[in-house]
Amino acid sequence: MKLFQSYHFSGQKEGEQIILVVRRHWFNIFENMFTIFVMIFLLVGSYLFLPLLFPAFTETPFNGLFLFLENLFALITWIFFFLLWIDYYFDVWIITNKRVVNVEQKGLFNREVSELELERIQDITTDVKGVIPTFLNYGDVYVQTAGKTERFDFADVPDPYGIKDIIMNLQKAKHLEENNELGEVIREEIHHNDA
Amino acid sequence: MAVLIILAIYAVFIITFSIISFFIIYHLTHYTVDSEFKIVMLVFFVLVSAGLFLSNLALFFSTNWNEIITKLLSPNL
Repeated sequence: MKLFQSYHFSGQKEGEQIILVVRRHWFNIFENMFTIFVMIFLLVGSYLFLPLLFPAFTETPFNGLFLFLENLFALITWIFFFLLWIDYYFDVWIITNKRVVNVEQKGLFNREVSELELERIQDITTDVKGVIPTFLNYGDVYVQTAGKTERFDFADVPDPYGIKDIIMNLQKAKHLEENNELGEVIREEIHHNDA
Repeated sequence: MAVLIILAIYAVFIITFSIISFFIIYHLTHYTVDSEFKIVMLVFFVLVSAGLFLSNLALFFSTNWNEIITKLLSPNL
C-alpha cells in the first residue's frame, strides 16, 4: 500500500500493512467547527465595528485594552479549534491486513484503543440514514464479532459500503491464506506417511 | 490592588494555555499516524500559537492598566 507508507501506529506488528485509515466524514467536523466560524465572525466583526460604536476604543489607553482583548479572543479561538481538530483527527479506525484498530479520542485526556482480529469478524452492517448522509455518501459501519456483545462501530465514515467491501475482502483473503496453510500441512503429512 | 488581581487572572490564563498547548503538542508527537502530516501540524500549531502568545504578552504588558482602572472608576467617564 503505497498510500500509507508514511503511516505508523503504536503497537503495529511486524509485517502488518495498513490498508486503510478512516476518519469521520468531513461534514461531521464541519458541523463541529460551526462554533469556530461563529467565533471568527465575532472576532472580525468586533474588530471592525466596536471602535465605530465605542470611539473610546480608538483612544489611549482603551485602544491597548481593545487590542489585548481581541488578541486574547483570537488565542482562545485558536486553542479551541485545535482541541476540536484533535478530537476529530485522532478518532481513527485503522484497517490492516491482520486486524481493525479503533482509536477513540474524546478531548485531550480520554483515549481508548481497541482492536479486532479479522478472523473474529462475523458480520458487517452498513447504515446510511438521512438526506445529507445519503447525498454525501457517509454513514455507520457496524462490525460484529464472534462474541455476542462485542461490536465495532465506525460512526459517520465516508463511503461505508466501500469500507465494508474492503474488510470483507481482507477477511476472505485471510481465510484463504489460513486454508492454504492448513492444506500445505495436510499435504506434507500425507507425503510424509506415503514415504 | 486591582492591577494585581488582573495580573493574577492573566497568570492563571497563561498557565492554563501553556498546559493545554503542552498536551496538544504531546498528542501531535505521540499519536499521529501519518508522520509527514505530523510535522506539518506541529509546525503550524507551534508557529501560530507562539505568535499569538507572544503578541498577547506584549499587548498585556504594554497596556496601562492603572490608567484604565482609574478612568473606568472615574465618575466623569
